Amino acid sequence: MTLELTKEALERAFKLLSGRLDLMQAEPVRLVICGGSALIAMGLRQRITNDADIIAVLDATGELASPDPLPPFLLEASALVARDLGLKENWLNNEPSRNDGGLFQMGLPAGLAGRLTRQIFGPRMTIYFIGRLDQIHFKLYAAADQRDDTHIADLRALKPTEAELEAAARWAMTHDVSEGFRMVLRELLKQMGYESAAKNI
Amino acid sequence: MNQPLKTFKEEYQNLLVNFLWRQWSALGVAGQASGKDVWIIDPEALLLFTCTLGRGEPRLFDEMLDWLRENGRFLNVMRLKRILRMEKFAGERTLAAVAACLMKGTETLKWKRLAESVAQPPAAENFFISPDGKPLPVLGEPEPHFLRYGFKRGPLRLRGYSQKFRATQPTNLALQLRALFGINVRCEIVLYLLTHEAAHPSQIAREAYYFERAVQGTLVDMLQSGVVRLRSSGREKHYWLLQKHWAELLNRPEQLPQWVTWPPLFSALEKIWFKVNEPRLETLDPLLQSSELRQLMVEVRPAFERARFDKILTDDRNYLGETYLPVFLADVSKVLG
Repeated sequence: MTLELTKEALERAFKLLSGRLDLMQAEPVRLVICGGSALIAMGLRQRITNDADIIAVLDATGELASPDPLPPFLLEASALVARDLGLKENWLNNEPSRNDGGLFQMGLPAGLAGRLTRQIFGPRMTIYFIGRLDQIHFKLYAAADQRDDTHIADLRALKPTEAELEAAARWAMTHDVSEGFRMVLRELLKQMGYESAAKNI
Repeated sequence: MNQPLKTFKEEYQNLLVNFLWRQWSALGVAGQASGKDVWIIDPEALLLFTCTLGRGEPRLFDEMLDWLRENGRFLNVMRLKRILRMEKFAGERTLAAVAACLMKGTETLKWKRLAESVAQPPAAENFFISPDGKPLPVLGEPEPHFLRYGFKRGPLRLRGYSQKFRATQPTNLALQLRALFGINVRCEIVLYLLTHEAAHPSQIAREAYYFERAVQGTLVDMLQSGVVRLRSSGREKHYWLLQKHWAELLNRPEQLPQWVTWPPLFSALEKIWFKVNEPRLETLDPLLQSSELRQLMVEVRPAFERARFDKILTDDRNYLGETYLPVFLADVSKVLG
């Protein structure tokens, strides 16, 4: 059985990971984290998760870059942390941006880099959590794409405005340009009570 | 440094040193430690382990050299090299220096091969270290053999108190057989069969640190003697002998001593010793310390398994984060206790 990540457990996992990277004298890593762990870390939602999703990395010049593939030393260190803390083996993963259809590869919301919140865990590890607006973008896209209640619950907890959801929907439609997806989005927005955003897209 | 780890480091050092004194004393080294161990001492594995641990216990190290002067002809250099290579002991240079010190008379050629197998390092370090890992000062002119291998230590003043090993002491069965049969694979095969009900050649080769082909071929010859017997189990051949008869021949009316595959155990204990003596470990917070020690035990667990000491070890997955630290300390103490 693997342990779930609370806010405290997440901090502890990142702290230990940072320590392991120091011991390995690894290259510094700057990871951009989205998903449930970012929601928890940013205090946007009180819940638990079992992983931390890397949506992008920041390169040495501070530019967003693809997290695929993740460096082997990071995977090695995170596997050790998993064993230490009883987390699932791939608790730290690049699932959202792993292939050509990934979020980073298809294009991130405009201005995402400027909305990141930085947390330095050590000289070799800095974590950047995505902001609330970007969470709304990703959660709306995931909710429409996967029809998963967890995403809808997360989205509601973010208390988005009509304008924010409309912007998120327009961004989501750049990832899936089909008419069917637009219909799903409209339906979802209506169900959530965002008639205006639904009408505008 | 957190207190449990500091205390453990001291206790571990003491346990190891006491253990080594006990083993060497049983072989005939002049010392105070006594024990009623019922396992067979592996002199090659013990020498390799002492090459590292003995640096923290100068008196033991020099008593070991004294003993080797008296009994070194019963050591198997080929087996020493094989154990050193297979178990990756850290004391290769020390072993070469020891071998250089033993190159005398008819033993010259035997030890020369070992002494010449190591390249000479560019700089020298102090050989003996204090319990806190700091180099001990060198008194007098550096000993030339050790200096050649990059170690500064004072002149050898061996006391000559070591005795010939006591043949019928339970722990000394390996040496007793070597005295009887010579330093060869036959001797190691008999030792193994005396302490196991029956064995497959590959099992003997693996645990006695001999080449399988040599063990296999020799067993086929030994079978011809009618003394070593064969039991076929499916396609596997298991060899055995009548232990009771051998016990009489060897003047051992009591139960024959137990076999322990010491090399992997010593190698694992050596790695643990290095880790707990890393200055860096002291500076880490308890969570990272636990992580390092957990990782170490994951690495050395297969060695404990090969030595059949793994049952003593706790499953670390039941002790997450810092809670593993006391478990680690208890487990390692249990192995030596």
